Order: sequence, then structure tokens, then C-alpha cells
Amino acid sequence: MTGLKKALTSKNIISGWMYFYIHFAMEVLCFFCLKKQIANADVSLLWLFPFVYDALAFVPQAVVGYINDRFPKFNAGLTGIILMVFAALSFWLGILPGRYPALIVLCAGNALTHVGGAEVTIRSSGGRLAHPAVFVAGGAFGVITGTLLSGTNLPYIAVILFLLSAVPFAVLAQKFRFPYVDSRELCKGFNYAKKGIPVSVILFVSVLVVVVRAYMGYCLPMAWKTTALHSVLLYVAMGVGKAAGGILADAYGVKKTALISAAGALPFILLGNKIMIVSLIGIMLFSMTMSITLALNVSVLKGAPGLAFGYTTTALFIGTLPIFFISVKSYLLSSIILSVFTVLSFAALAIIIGKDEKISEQHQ
Amino acid sequence: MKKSVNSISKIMDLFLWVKVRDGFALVMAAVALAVILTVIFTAVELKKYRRDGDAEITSPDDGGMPDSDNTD
Repeated sequence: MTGLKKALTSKNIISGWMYFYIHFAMEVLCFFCLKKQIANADVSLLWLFPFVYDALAFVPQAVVGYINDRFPKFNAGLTGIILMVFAALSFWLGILPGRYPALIVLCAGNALTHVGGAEVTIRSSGGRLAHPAVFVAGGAFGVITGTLLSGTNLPYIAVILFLLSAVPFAVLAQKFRFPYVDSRELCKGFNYAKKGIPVSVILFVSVLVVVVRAYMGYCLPMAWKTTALHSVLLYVAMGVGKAAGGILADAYGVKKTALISAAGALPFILLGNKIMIVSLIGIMLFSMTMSITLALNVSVLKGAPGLAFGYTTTALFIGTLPIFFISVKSYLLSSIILSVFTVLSFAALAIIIGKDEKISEQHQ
Repeated sequence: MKKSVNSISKIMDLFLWVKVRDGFALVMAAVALAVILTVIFTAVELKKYRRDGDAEITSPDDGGMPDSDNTD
């Protein structure tokens, strides 16, 4: 329990919580706008809007991250919020011609704020995973809140004001970035990749694990999910799992957490097809490797944490790409896909993560 | 009358398809460009890392200053 307490109260963890709120608020606005626009879209084009959003918000984050790595004084989080507010105003008042220009601005804002969150939390964490994990977790709560609010009569101005409430946090959190210190100095605690394996192999395998996990996320059998409350519980489990992955990795070791969660998720997910609580435990475990793959990327790209973060979001897009064209509905088929991919992910993580004993030394 | 409405509808569908196809192509081009830039930036970063990687970075906590060449 001491390890867990230390992980929860580690230095600068407040940067993670600040960006948890920012991430939550931005996803509320993004999904509110997206779902509102989809509701008014031509039926044959229903897929196009989310596809463009995923492509233009996720993939450029590596490039934006790399540029942001070079300009430490630039507040990417705050700039992103301003862009997203402008996009929402445009959806609402029709400032820009058509819906797609506003969507592109929304994507740019989303990408910038994600990168800002990654830069701040990774650089201030001293090699711990809890900070970026807490930041990432906020998104899951925001996605479901924004989706549910889009079905109500809530005006655009309400979600715009809600996102603007995150501005003070974006300004304050920037102080945690330590702009004038070499990022390799700040990220020297990230030594989770196994020594002796070429850096390109670590990056490739880590990206592959994220791709597989993103695809698996759409194959999870959930016959129990029939109401809005069930959807809320699903996203809560995802968010809690993402945060817990980083916190437990700091407390008990990265390799241990990665392997136990990767292997442990499968039986819960398969047996929980019709039993909600069992399924939710599986989903929580399944979400835990999120921050671990990010930490692996930072371990080999210490000079460019923004670029390292962008790799995970690009991989998320690649993983979700097939679901726009093929959907898996059969329980048997999804069980086979999940089992094969779990074995692959487990093996990949076992190969590329270094031993936990060495990792614990660096936090002393 | 019905025939002409159908023809107009078909032409509109074609316009919509061309618009969607071009938009889709544009998005995919942007994605491809982002992926290419990511690979280039990674190669630059790894080259820099290999060049400086073995050198011990002096920590300000140890009384030293970070290497000025590596300062952001």
C-alpha cells in the first residue's frame, strides 16, 4: 500500500489532474459538436464525419508534438482550447462556410490540446506513469458526457463556457513544463524499454500493441450494454482503467502491471458478455496498458515526448480504421480475434519491457 | 416529369459522390503527409539520440548545467 500511496501523491501529480479536467472538458465539447452534426447529416454520409474527425485529430499529433517539443514557450493546450471554442461557435452560428471547415478547426484544437497535455504531464512526471495516465483518463469521461449532452436541448453556449472554464488550468499547467530544461534531462526517468533491442523495433512493436488494442476495443462482446446507463458505466470503467494502469505501474512495476492486465482482461471480457460487472472488470484491465505503451515510446524518444505521444494517437487511428468498413458481430469471431490479439500483445509487451527491478531504482 | 426528377436526383448523387470522394482523398493525403513527416522527424530524432546518446547529460541537481546544445 505504501507504493500505491506514493504513486498517488507523487511530485507534480497535480499537473495530471489539471489536464484530466482540460481533457474532460475538451472531449465534452468535441463529442457534443460531433454528435449534434451527425444527427443532422445525410444518412449515407454518417460515417464520413467521425472518420474525418479521427483522421485529422489523431494522426497529426505526432507532427504537432514534434514541433511543440521545439517551442517550449508555446502553450499548445491553451491555443487548442481557443481553436475548439471557435469551431463550436462556427457550428453554432455558421461563421465558417459549411461544416467541414469548422470540423478541421475542431480537429486542430483537439490535437494541440492533447499534445499540450502530453508535454506537460510527461515532462513533469520525473519518469512516472501516473501523470500522463491521469491526463489520458479524463477523455473517456468527456466522450460519454458529450455524447449524452448532445441528445438534450442544451445550447452550444453551455459547452463552450464549460470548456472556457479549463483556461485557467491550461495556463497554470504550463508552469509544470519546465521550458528551459532539456527534455532528455526531464525524461531520463523513462527507462522502461528493454536494453539491447533496437529503438526502431521497440517503437514498431509498441505501436503495433496500440493498433491491436484499438481494434480489439471495437470487438468486445457486450450483450449487456443496452441502456445509456450501461454506456456510462463502460466509459467510466475505461477511464478508471487508464488512470489505474499508470498508478499501479508506478506502485508495483511496469512489466508486472502490463502483463497481468493484458492477460487478465481476456477471461473477464469473454465471460462477461452477458454479465456486466465481470465485463467491466475486464474492460478496466484492458485499458491499463494505455500509459505503458506511451512510456515505452518516451523511453526511446526522450528528446521528443510530444512526438512519442503522437505515435500512440496515430496507432489508435490505424486500429480504428477497419471498423469504418467491417464490423464484427458474432461472439465466436470476436472471441477468436480477442484471444489471438491478446496472445500477440502479451508476447510483444513481455519482449520489449525491461525488468521491474531496474525501474524501481530510478524512482529512489 | 418523374423521369426528369430521377435524372436530377442521379446528377445530384453524382455531385455528392465527387464532393465526398475529393474530400476523402484530401483527408487521406493529409494523413499520408502526417505519417511521412512523423517518420522523418523520428529518423532525425533517433540520429540525434545516437549521436549524443552515450554522453551523460549533466543534471542541474548535481550542480551542473544542461548541455547548451541540447537546450530547447
